[in-house]
Amino acid sequence: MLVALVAGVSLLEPSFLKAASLRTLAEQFPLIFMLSMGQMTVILLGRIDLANAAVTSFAAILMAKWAPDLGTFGIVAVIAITSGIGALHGWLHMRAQVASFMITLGGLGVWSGLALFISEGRSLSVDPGVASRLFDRTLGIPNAAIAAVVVAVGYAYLLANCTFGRRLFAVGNGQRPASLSGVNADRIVLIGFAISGFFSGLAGTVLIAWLEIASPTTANSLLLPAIAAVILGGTAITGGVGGVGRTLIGTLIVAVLRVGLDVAGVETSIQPVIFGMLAIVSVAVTIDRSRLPVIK
Amino acid sequence: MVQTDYLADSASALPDSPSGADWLTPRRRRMLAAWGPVITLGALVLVLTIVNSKFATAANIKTIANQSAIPLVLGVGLAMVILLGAIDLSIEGVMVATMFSVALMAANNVNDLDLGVLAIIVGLAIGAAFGAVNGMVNAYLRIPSFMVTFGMWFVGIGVAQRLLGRQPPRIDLEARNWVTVQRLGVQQMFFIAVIVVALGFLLLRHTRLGRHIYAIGGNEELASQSGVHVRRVKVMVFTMAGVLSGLGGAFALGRAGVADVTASQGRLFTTIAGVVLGGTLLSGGRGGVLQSSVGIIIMIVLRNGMVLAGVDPFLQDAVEGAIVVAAVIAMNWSARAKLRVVA
Repeated sequence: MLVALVAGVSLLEPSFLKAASLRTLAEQFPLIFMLSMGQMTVILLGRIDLANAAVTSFAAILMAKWAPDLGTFGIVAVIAITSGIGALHGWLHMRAQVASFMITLGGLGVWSGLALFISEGRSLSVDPGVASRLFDRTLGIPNAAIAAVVVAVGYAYLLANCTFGRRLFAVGNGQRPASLSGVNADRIVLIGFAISGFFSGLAGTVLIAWLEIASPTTANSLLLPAIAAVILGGTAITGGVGGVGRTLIGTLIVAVLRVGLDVAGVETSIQPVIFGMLAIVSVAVTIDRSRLPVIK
Repeated sequence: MVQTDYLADSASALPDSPSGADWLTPRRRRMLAAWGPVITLGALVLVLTIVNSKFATAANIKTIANQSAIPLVLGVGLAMVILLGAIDLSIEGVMVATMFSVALMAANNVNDLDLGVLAIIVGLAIGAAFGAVNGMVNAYLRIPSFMVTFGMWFVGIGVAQRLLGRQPPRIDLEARNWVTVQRLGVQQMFFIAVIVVALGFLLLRHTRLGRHIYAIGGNEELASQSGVHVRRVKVMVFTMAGVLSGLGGAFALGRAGVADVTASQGRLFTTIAGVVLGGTLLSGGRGGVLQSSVGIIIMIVLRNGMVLAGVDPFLQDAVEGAIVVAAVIAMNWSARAKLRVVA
């Protein structure tokens, strides 16, 4: 599908394969990829995180506020905070037994409200310090894209070979059997949400390094494309099926689509319609209905 | 919502709550659930009256009435969806899509169309179409409602952005009259909203459709086996919710006079928080339109109190998000059970 898409876009719009569009693609890719990796972790558990893009905006604003005083340490501190925010979502979700979309929808309101409050609704310019090297180029490829792939490989290794990875899939495949076989499902879900928060923090770092501006709302429009990337890649929202490789493909499809639509002159205004429908259609194709007794 | 109760069916889940104190007999608990929101609203009003001298003035109460109209209408639609055990996240998207459609069809400064009342009717039909798609995809393609309506949220916003040309459409003063004309000192839309609440109440209490909605929310499988046409009811409910989101959009247009893509921001939170605070459980089958309306008025009064106290508007948004979480957790607390799986 990815190959077909690239071929299709190139045929319709030969300029797509030119350096400029490919560069845009390489610049957009790491940001969406970080968000979709976090989202994938939560979706593998059969949950969803509607707050992760808002947390990314919140992280970017905090980094902008703290960069002058704390420098690189500020970035590390913010990533720790976003991981904590994710853990908080996971804890509330499991402890109160409230659907994850509901908790994280509330989180979306809280963190985007706080981001706007802290920044007083304005965009802040930020000196990314060390992080600015993320968008230096090695052989013409932004370092961030390389770093993203390295993180992905490490994460894929963790999921495939560590106990945590196996437990994550076990809980996603069936929480009750997993709990009865001694997996602490509460803890696994909490860690899953914390990982989503961690990736939101990384995405915030990529964002400020790329734009050198932190706006309280920039990342918010990436919530839907990131979810679409995960599901298009073939990770089912019912949980337990999917992985890093699929999400990488899904993210590339979404990134090519975004850049391709721009190159092809499709107005930005209509893009939410396309991604909204794409998300619904890909869920319809990948969902495992036998796992759901009733569909609410 | 993906949810499975393994140990207890939801009907018997209430009495053995982990936090059940002795004095809280099931009967008293039901009383508390029924009257709690009203008591909360009363206490809130009392506190605000004491704390802020500007609260209990005629002008401020009129403001609250005017501000309640849109959330009340949205709340009736969402309450019916939540009673099914489903959710509608597309409210804001449908609102702005309708807002722009109506603005471009009524007497406006962008094109020469002036369809009068027909503009509103077509606008509500567009809302109905969005709702029908939500319902059909949810019921026939079998996709969880939060996912479908989440996608449709952005579809609606995209449609609105597409309809926004070089300048936002502004409608003529006369075209706003049906919303803003003063009756008894309050804008007419408040009374329309009250009628909608009454109709919603009658529908749930006194029609077969209403009983079927409660039946599906209580236990979908059982309802289906007793001959309830589950899919048709779902499509009808989502369609009604779509119409009401559309009406909310038309109200918002009448109030502002100009269509705006960000006009519906934050509506979803107020509505969900209100409906749940009123005691309509997210798991479905319990609650009603009147309870939800009380919850919604709590949210409006709360926001009004924050405005009077001079709280930063952005911070108010954050507070509302926190209230959504707190309300949902508090209302769901007694339904918790060991090994219960909630996705």
